[in-house]
Amino acid sequence: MHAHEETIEIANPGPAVFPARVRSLLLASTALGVAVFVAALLIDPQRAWYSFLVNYLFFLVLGVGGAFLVALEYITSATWTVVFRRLPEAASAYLPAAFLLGIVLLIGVPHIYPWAAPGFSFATSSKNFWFSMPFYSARSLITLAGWVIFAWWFQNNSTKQDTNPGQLLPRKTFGKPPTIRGRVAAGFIVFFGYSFTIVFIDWVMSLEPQWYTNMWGPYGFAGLFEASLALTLFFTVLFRRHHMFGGAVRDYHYVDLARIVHAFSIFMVYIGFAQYLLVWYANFREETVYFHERLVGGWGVVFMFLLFAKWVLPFCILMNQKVRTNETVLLVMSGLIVVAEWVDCYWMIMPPIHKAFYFPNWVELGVFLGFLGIFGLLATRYLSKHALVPIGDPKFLASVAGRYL
Amino acid sequence: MPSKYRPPAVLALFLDPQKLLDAVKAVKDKGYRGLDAYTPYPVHGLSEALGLKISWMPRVTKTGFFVGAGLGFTLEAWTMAWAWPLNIAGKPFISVPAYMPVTFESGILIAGISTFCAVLIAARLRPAPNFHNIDDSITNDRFGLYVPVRPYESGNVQTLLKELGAEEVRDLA
Repeated sequence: MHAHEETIEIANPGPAVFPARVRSLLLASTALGVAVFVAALLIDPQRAWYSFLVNYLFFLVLGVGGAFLVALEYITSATWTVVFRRLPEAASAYLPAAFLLGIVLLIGVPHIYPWAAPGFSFATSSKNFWFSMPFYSARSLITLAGWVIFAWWFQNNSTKQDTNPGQLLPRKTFGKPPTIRGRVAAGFIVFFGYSFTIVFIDWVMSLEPQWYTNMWGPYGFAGLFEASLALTLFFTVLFRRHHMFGGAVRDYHYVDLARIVHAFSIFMVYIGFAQYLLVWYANFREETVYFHERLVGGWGVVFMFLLFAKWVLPFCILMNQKVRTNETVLLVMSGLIVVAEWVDCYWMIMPPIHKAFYFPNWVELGVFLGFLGIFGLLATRYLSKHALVPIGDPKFLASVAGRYL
Repeated sequence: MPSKYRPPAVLALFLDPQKLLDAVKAVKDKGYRGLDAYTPYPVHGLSEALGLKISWMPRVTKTGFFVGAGLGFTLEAWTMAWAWPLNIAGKPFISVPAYMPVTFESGILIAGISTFCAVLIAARLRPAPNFHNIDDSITNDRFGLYVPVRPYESGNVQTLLKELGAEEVRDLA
């Protein structure tokens, strides 16, 4: 393909500038969250730790999902994602905090998991070994540390280009060996695949210690992928509305992002239904316990909400090509998907302690605000330190112009 | 062989899809209408540049999907619940989750086949003994631009297309 020269005038929009109240609101939100969590610990430790787990999982999914989207761009040497790549990078800037909060979560393990209660024993010694505290902690911490290191490498590698444009070239043409960037991304994706499945089983599936499903890793991954894409779309639209990209993001970027959100809403329902169908069809008591708890006592309404918010509405609405450039619709749909991911975490984690549907209360919302504050502070800090678009990336102008070939 | 009447036109062959896109814009700016492009693979932005309307083909696919899914569901309901009712693990005869895979797959199958046939019909790709390909290279590595002209304009248009970077320019009569 011959490079085509068309003059594109893109001024460097520079680092994002947020109003001063954003930072103070996020700080207040963090402080409120910490206060609520401490108060809830004193009143009802189990409930406090469960809401901690829900919110920890939700924000971790968004954080590591950001690193995954960046790695996906590098490994496929994609052009179209370059223009808004800083947003997933900013989401992955939350991961160091997730590491520290993961250590906090380990303190709460005896309050959360039935298998950590004194006197509990699995039928097999291998399972007892797997869920022994030292092995469990080591797995969690190695996973989190690995994600932090990879995410840091991606961010560093990307921001270095701002001052040295054209350096660290990604793979340019087919048939040439990939650059270091592509190789690291490939390593991350292999590591992420195994580690995410393992910790997702450890953190969530072990809430039902006797229950297991082979679709658990894919189910968590499908939710992660859809929610991360939706989060990227949400902030792409929001920032463009406030003229923060300096004209770099255009309508066809909306169309492409909306299209991939649409595609992965189908992936989500495919995985979710594949898991549900086999359990429903086989109808073994030890397998149906999970869905039974999550479908009766009012939780079935949440299940239907998830079905509509994660698949039916995005699928039907984002199918229309014209709607894909309508900012209001995009904001509502991507916001709905992100909210649905939180509801999904809530629906996966809460039923063991609340047999009847339990509306999120001040504990859940307070802890959520705390996590939101930390996530927001780290993400906005990353965005206000570096240019909001990767101006030095050799594929940047092609991405702006929509030349994806 | 009796040959059909062909309106006078100019065919330009480009090596680069980008040059084709630019040429489409330039030729349209000069006021020529009824342009068509022949490319070996879909080129991003070409239908917008040519000003083509959104195709009606997606409606064929959508209709095909719903017809196929309905047929698949009906087939399952007929065989499993009416023609030969079987009690499987105490499930209802019409158990929707179990029917979903077949419903989905038959929807996809009929949608795919009907789109395939509709494209062949709409593009007049039926087998025809007197079919004449406009140029063999447009199925391989060239990007063709078809400009209908009045006979006296042909020379000017050929010069214009040459200036726009066409590898080869030819009169179609």
